[in-house]
Amino acid sequence: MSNSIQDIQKQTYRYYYQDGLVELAVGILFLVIGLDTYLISSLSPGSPAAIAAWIALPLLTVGGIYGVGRFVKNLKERHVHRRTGYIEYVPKRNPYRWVISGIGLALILAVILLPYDWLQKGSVAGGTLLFIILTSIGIQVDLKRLILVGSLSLIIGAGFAFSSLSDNASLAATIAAAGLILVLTGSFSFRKYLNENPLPEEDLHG
Amino acid sequence: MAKSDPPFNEDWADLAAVDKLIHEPARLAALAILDAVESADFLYLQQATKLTKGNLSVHLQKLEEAGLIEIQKTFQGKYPRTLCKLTLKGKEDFGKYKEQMQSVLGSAA
Repeated sequence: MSNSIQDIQKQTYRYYYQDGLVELAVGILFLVIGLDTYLISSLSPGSPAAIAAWIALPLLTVGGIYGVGRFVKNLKERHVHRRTGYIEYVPKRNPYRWVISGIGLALILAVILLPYDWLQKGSVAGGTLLFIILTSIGIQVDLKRLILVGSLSLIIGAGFAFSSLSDNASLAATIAAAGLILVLTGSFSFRKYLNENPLPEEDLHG
Repeated sequence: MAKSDPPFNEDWADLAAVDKLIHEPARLAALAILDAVESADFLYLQQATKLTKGNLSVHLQKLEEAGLIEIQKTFQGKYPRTLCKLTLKGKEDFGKYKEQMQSVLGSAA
């Protein structure tokens, strides 16, 4: 009995991610941050453009998190709530958050402290961080495609680690690649959601 | 047990004490959903439980009459929205129900 209740409740948490809008929004943000990180790595240090790119990075990150929330909320109000309903979620703390954060930090530190100068550690650290975040959400809500994207991020990060790109450029490429995958999976999921959940008859006629 | 219930083995008091209002599958599913969130609207509950509008309405009304949920009719823009939320009594009773079931199932779970 309790397993069924747990499954029902997991399904309720999964509902927030099911339409793909969160992935789409986060993917766009990652693409923009990846581009900005690449500009930082490729522009002449100290040039006005490089300084602007550096200033833009925290603004994009902080503003982006807020922007993603608003973007997702607006799209859900327009396209999701009228199709499959609305849920107001209770802010929930993952009881394992300290364990996950500890493991993540330990992994990233281990990567940074590796004694191999030829290894692009930024991309490995970035890929590892994305793997931890996406996989932990995917496991929590039982959404396998998030686990898949997280795993791909880890592989991409590891792949760029052996590239001839600079540390920052390989990190940028990892973030942008993860962003692109999220945009693709998010778009596909959202399109599938719209096809499977038409608007109710009364809404079609205004 | 209600007065109208047939006699039941007194040794199985735990089984008899299971809350029948909550134990009905449709109501149990609705309460499980509402226990996990702040609130959910009628449309979400309907698509999650796959009940008809009429059927779900009847179940939610029973839960509201028992004081386990509160139903609020509101608007999102120009669209009506019926929000359901577990009351404090609902949370307590649902928690008790889960304990009852664990007690009833015991090592058989």
